Amino acid sequence: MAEKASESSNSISLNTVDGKIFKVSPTIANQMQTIQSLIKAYDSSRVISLPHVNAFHLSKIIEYLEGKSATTVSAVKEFEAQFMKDLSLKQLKGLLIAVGYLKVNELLELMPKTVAKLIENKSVEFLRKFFGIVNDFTPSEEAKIREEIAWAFDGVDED
Amino acid sequence: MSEYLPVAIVEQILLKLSPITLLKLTLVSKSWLLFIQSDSFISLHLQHSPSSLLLCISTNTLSAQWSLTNITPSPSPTITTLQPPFPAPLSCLFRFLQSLNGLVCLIQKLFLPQQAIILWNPSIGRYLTLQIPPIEEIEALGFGFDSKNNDFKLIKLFNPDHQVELYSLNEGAWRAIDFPHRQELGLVRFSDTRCFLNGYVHWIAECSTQEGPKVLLLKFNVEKEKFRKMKLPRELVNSPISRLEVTVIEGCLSVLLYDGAPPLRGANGWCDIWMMRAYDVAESWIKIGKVHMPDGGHVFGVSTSSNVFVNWSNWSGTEFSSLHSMDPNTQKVTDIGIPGRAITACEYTGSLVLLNKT
Repeated sequence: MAEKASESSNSISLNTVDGKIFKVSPTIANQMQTIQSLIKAYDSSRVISLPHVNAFHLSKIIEYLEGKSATTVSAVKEFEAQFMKDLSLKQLKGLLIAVGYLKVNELLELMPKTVAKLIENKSVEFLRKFFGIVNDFTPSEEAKIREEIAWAFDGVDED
Repeated sequence: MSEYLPVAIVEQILLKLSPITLLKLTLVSKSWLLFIQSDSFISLHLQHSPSSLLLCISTNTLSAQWSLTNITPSPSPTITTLQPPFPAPLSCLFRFLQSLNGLVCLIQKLFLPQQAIILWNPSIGRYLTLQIPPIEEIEALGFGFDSKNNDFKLIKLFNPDHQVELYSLNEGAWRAIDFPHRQELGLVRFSDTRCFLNGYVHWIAECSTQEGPKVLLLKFNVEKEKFRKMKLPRELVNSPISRLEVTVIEGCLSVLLYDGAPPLRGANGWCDIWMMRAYDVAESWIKIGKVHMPDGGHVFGVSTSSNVFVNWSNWSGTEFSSLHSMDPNTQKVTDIGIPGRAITACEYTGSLVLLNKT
């Protein structure tokens, strides 16, 4: 009991951009490198504001960091697979931006693989939109490259 | 989806994508085209390459099928059919020389003595053909990767006059190579197989000595471009070179000793498998197993599995594959699931190599 009390007194408060406060243990907070350095820089009793992270993304990150501490390797793998399966591609993208900002190394390792698998067979138009890239080819330049690699476009997914 | 992913994360995602998706992504924008085609991205992507597959050419009387399948046989193999981008009529005979980092080196025999070497990346459909002048009588060929210079190199030993030439993909041309000790070695013949491992191309070579012909391993360092010799197990040095082949099994240099020379490998045929457990340690040679081939056949290994592949000759069942995967310890045999009576195959991993070369 005593240990639990001391843990809650040590807990760190994180304030998301949409105004929700999360209390997390130092073990969880330290797995987010950005927060770790903020704790070192400031008084840890203060509420840390996260202007680039919303409540949904922070709750998912905390859910992951708590869940992946399962005992066996196969249980962790199963948890990770389910965690990723529950998220849409759009949600994964938003979460990945938050993960990149907070520097959660394990998710930075895991999530690009998940996203890569999901976009593997998408159309070029979809991917431009997904990555936010403006097409700067002229129509004739694009047509030329498309012709050269036409065979690669068999069986592309619907957007 | 108005927010942008940081560049470092985009790069991590791109590195996990398959070569064919990256090929399509060259259409996204000019900067993406340049980025994906850059030498640095191509070599970084190599390190993230997915697991190995088996690239097969299955030839029947009326057709030849090129396909990719899993190294580990499964009840429902994932077979992908490939369309070679170069002319491949049935009159052409193709043999795999070596496949490395996604680049497949094939020998194309039209009709003797005309032959060519094809460097092909099946993942992105790019290839390069190097003609072998009919005057050159090939003694041995090898294909390796120089990881220091990030370069693929072909080595060619040929007559007349025991010449040696090297083709560097980066240089795009053949040049002569010195082989100063060839005379001293008394080199006579090379085996028809070769393998690339630890920066070296390996061949089995026969030398003439005062006590008669002896066999040894000859290797070529593709980075330093120098030849060296290496010892075979004592039990094999007096074997006729026609009964020996070299391969790689589970990352170890291995030598196969057949019961006879081709095409006589036959009735109640067998093949002993010798493995050099620790590279370049002569004492580490060990016989790891024997493969029985009732009608003769051909055995080869892959770097990512302890199983070997056995290509049975005269395999009678037409709807079955002549190519099987075999555990040398238990002798358990599994059909790889590609039908065909004559199958030639090699290990393969996808990459973007050649994307910026042709």
